[in-house]
This record gives sequence, structure tokens and C-alpha cells, in this order.
Amino acid sequence: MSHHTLQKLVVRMLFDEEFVEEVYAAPDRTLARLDLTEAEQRQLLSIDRRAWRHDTLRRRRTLRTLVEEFKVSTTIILAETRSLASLEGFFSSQFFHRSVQERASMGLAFAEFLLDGCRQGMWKAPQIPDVVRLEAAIAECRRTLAREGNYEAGETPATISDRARVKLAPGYDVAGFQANVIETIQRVEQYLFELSLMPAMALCDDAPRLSGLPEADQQKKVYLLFGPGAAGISITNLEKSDFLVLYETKREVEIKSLLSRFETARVRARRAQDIIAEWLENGALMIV
Amino acid sequence: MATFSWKVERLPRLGVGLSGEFDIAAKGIDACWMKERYPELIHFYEYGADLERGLDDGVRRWAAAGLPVTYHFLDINLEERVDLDHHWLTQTKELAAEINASWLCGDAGRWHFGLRERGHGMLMPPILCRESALETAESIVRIESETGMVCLPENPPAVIYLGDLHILDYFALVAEQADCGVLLDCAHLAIFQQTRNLPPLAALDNFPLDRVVEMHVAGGAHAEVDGYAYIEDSHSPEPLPATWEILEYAVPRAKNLKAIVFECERNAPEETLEIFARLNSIFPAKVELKAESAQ
Repeated sequence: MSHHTLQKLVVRMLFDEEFVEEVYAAPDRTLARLDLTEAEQRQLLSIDRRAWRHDTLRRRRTLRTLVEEFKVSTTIILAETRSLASLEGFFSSQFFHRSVQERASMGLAFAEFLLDGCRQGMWKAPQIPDVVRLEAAIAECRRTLAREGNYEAGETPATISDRARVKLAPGYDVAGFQANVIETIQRVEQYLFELSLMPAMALCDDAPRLSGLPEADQQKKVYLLFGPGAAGISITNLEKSDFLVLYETKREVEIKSLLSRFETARVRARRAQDIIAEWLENGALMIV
Repeated sequence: MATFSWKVERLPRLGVGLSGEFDIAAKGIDACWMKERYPELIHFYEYGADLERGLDDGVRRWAAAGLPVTYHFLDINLEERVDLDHHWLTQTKELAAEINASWLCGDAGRWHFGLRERGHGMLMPPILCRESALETAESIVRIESETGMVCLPENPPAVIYLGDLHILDYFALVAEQADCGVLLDCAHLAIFQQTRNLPPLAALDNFPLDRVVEMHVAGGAHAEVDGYAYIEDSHSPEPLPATWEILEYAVPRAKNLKAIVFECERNAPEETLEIFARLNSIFPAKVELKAESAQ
């Protein structure tokens, strides 16, 4: 096996005490898939198991970073569960372990963990799934932008062949949510602001509580565009028609093929052309 | 490829320096202030940097005054080939050039797990095996070649070290394979020896001390978790006796030594003066030539 495999195992053990116990109790079973040599396994198990928990604040420090990106979702969850362990459970989850093993983003794995919590009924507030999806979209855009860099839209040519291929530029995304998602976020942000005035007030019986969240209205939808703004990723409201066209450009697509998907109604087809031109011009779409 | 001898001959002797990182002046010692107050104690500034935060005003002021700086990276996994991307290389080169850094250095191992992303930061030592040492050496060769600067790998601190090599044997292998210098952190070595129940000077007799270009000294603290004793790399003002023992053994034997850093930036300045004075007496910034007595 390689030292890379061993390093990933070390990370998982440093974060997850339950996993450490499993490794020491049943090493053959727990480490089976990792293909450790006998010598490596012996070396690992020769470490005093108490040493793995020397940094008692590691989870909390990391959780703080995760919560910064998912502050609205985690606030609603904590208000409901009143349990820090409900979030710390992430470090013992398959989502965390898989993200380390696959060298993937821990932030996006945390989003998966939160969504799975909704599916499993660990948190029930109906506002949570859409808020998680919205915060995850921002997190994803932030990462794409950091990885691929800002796209500078040049001057759009007067004519563009319909054989050209287009896609959303780095840092852009579109998604649909229940109608009150923005109001929910604003309500939670207001509560967090109030709490930030004196964090210790959370200890008081008469401290402000998170209440009165707008009802999650799944009958009505709001369509949002995420994209690079002056201070990180900004959010813009979209018309449904714009959303439908842009949604198709999440993956690279030929303009002709894109237009054909909207040709059932002539008006919509013409509108699709306008939409593509408009978003190409302002840089949300790029020609590949 | 330039040889180690060729490279090290061209490096300046910097003397004793102070460490710091982004915005440290607000939380600890302001290097410029310290230099102004105690010019005989501080001769250079080692700035700990990552691409996310970049340079701060303190290091820019220091560099603008024409004072020597070294660039200590905090965001590259030398042991992991895939982490060494073009973006990191070009940006790091740019930042180091902006402050006219004499060389690059930093803990060899991992500064983050997986991607270089928020929340992933965690300093981990390399797995002490031959395969890892070869990959680290490969990274150093690439960094030196693409930045045109000397890159000194440093032995990192940890509570858990895995691998079949002693950490000094690991770094000797890295130095040989990359034909590079090394940064010997005496406090980190003391921590390693303690984790393996070895005396402070174990394995130093076989280590090529002529490869040591820079040394670090810092305070440590004895700590325990559920009765398990370990040394915390606390950077407190007082180095442990084992750290001094390693330093005093290594300095006279490190013929290419150019710099010693006292990592103490989070302490009150007055708490550090005695140690700076002691380090300056062990390793003066300027070598004085003594005339031989007339025959």
C-alpha cells in the first residue's frame, strides 16, 4: 500500500474516536479494504490509542469552518435538536470518511450529511432541505471559481454559429427552491445577528430563540442564479424561462440542440435565443 | 541541476531571526518593532505564509526596509505529488519574490488533508518510509527548479508518527535524493524522540549535519490525555532542555548553517529576550575573524 492510503487512515482516526475503537477492536475487519501490510498494521496498532484523542478541540475547530459555510442550515438544525452531537456526528459518518478516502471536499460532504439527515428524519423542519441545497450551491460555486478562475466575458460577436457549444461559466449555477427560502435565510441571519451582540446570552432562559420561520411553500417556486459577485457568490432571481434554459447549460451543450429542446412553442424558442444571447453577453454563459 | 554545495555557498548567513505569520503584530510580536528595539538580537524575519492570506503589512514593511526575510510555506503537502500544482508554484514564487526572500522552507509532510480547502488544514508529519521520502524529494526538486529558489524541508511536530524510519533517516534520504539542504527543528526533533522513547540525540551521529542550513528553536510543554504523556509544540517562551541539547550538539557540526529562528511570535517580547541573547551567543550573525598570534 502507499503512504497516501495510510495518511488518509490517520486523518479518519484523528477525527473519529469511534472509528479508532473499531480499528483496535477488529483490525482485520475494519482495515480489510485498505490492503495494509502486516508490518504497517502492527505499527498502527502499536500507537497508544489514547494518543489519537490528544487534540480535544479538533472536531470543534473544523465544525466551526463548516458551520461558517452552512450557517443557516446548521442554525435551524441546532435549534431543533438542541444537540451539538447532531452535527459532530458528521465526523463519524460515511460522508466524512468517504470524502477523506476520495480526497474530496469536506464542505460538500457536509452538505450531503445534512441532506441525508433530512431523509433519515434526524431533523424535521421542512425549511432545512432547501436551505441546505442553497448553501451547498454557494459552496460549490465558490470552489469551482477557486479551481477554474474567473471567466472574463469578452465582446460578444455579432453572430454566433448555432453549432457553438455553451455552458455556465465557472462559479455560476442555477437552481429552483421553495418560494420562501430567501425569507427563511433572512430570518435566521437576523437571529444570528441578535445573538452575536452578546453570544453568552444563549445561556439564558430568556434569550432570543429561533422562531417564526416562514412556512416552506413547496407549491410555489423561486428560481435563483448563483454567480461571482463583489463579495463572494451573489444570488439573483431568475424568470422561470431563463432558469429552464440555463439549467440545460449546467453541462456543455450545443446551441442548436439547446434551442431544439424549446422549439415546441415558437415563442419560447425565440425567447431561448434571446436568453442565451443575454447571458452570453453578461458572462454567466460562456462559449466552450 | 545545481548541486547542494553550489547552492549553499550562495546563500547569505542570516544569523538569528524571529518567526511570524499573517497579522501577527495584532496578536503577538511585531517584527519591525522588535528589530527597532533590539537590533542586536533580531537579524531576519521568517514569515509563515499561505496563498489564501498572502503577505501582511508587517512583512511588507520589513522587506521595504531592505531587511532579510525567509518564506515559510504553510500550505503545501511535499509528500503528496498531486498537491504541487502550477498555481501554488507560481503564486508562491511571486509572494516570495515580493519580499525578496532568501529561500523557501516549511514542514515536510502535510499541511492539509485532501484538497487545499477551508477546514482541511491539519499539520501532519510524513509517513516515515522510503516511498514517501522519494516523493518529498521529487517535490523539492520541482519547487527549486520552477521557483529558482532553495527549498528547505523541515521535520514537523506530531504526537503520532508512522513509518519504519527514524525521522532523521527520512530527512537524510530526502536531502540525498533531492540534493538539497534541510531545516532542522530542534523542538520538533525533541518531540519525535520522546514519542519513540529515544534520548534527544538519538540518530544524530548518522545524520549529515552539513545539510542543515537553518534551525528552529521553540518552547514546548509537557501534556497528557487520559494519562498518555506527550510534548505539545506550544511555542511558549522557554525551550525544553532536550531542545537545547539538540541545538548545542548540532550547531558546531552544521558547517553550512546560515540561520536560526526562535519561534516565539505569540509571546510578550520581554519574555523572549533572554533566549534571543543566548541564541546569538551560540550563533552570531557575523563571523569574527581572529588574527593568529604572531609566531
